[in-house]
Amino acid sequence: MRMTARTTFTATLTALTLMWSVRPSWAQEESGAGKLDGVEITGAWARIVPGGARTGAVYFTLRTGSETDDVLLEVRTPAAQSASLHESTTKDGVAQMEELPEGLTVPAQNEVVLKPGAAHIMLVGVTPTLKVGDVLPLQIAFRQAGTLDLQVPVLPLGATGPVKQHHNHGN
Amino acid sequence: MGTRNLRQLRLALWVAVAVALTVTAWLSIHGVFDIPEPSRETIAIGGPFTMVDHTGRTVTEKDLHQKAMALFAGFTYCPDVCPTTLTRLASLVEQLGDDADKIQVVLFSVDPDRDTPESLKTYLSNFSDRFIALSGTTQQTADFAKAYRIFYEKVPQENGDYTMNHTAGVFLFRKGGEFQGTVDAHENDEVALRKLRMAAGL
Repeated sequence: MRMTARTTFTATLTALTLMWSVRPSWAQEESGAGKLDGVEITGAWARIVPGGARTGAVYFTLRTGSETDDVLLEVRTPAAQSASLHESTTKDGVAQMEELPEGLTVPAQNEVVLKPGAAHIMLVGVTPTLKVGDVLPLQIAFRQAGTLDLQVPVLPLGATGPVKQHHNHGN
Repeated sequence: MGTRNLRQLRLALWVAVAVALTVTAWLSIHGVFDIPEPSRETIAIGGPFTMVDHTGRTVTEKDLHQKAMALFAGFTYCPDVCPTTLTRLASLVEQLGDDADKIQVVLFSVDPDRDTPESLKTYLSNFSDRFIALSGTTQQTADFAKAYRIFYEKVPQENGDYTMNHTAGVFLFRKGGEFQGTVDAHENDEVALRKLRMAAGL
């Protein structure tokens, strides 16, 4: 085959497309997103309160594509002493935080949003060296879909939502 | 009518007038004609207390009465609601600009077992230099909560730790300690700022 400009161009484009489609999963996770068969997490972000308790919270949007419900069972991270699922509610003017020992149900073909004032992952005893701009590794176990590894960006305290990525699906 | 009758009538009428005047004067003195002032419902929130602020200084209600105040309950082990509230209050106070000095944001710690002035100082420094945090012994905490009608309770967690349930919302007080109202998380900034300004007497 003669290497015309067009051939070269097509070959390069094909090569790039192939490379992009098999890009390592870490490239996607670094943006605070992750995917398994049946569940997808986007817009993950973490907020840490330094000093004293070193508590933190992780939030994200969770979507199931599968036909059946799934349950987010538990969360693990090497970056904190404990990670657990909670839901903030206000009942009769009293702020409460309910632990979700049964996990968080994600209805089929649906979306659940973990955000301030609602469901969230609570971290206690976050590694002292972890700071804004770092990435917090999280392992999320689902009953059906399996275990997902997530790299969660640590945002400043004033943050109220994830950093918008250019390839985000949008809300 | 005869002259004598007219004179009697005139006398009778003057007596009647005198009686009427006397009765009216008496009733007036006894407040019968006073229009009642619309009752200013003063809800008795707040009272005497002794706590320690985040710099270790002793604080009583007299200190808090020096300025308008925005008070809310929280604790440093709170991962979600408290940082959210503090971030929001920091933003609102900043929006007050030059008037920010007229209202004092106060965090009341409902967790005397874990929160200390030192840990509260570090905690607050993440949000604003203007805020103060109050903590105390178990008894002092209970006394403050009772005076300011704040509910709180420990809730044990599966891993052996505990979290705290506590009254939500921000309580506003005028300078002098009179309760003004509340701000809750669902109200937008415009409403919240208006309330803060009202409490600050602006």
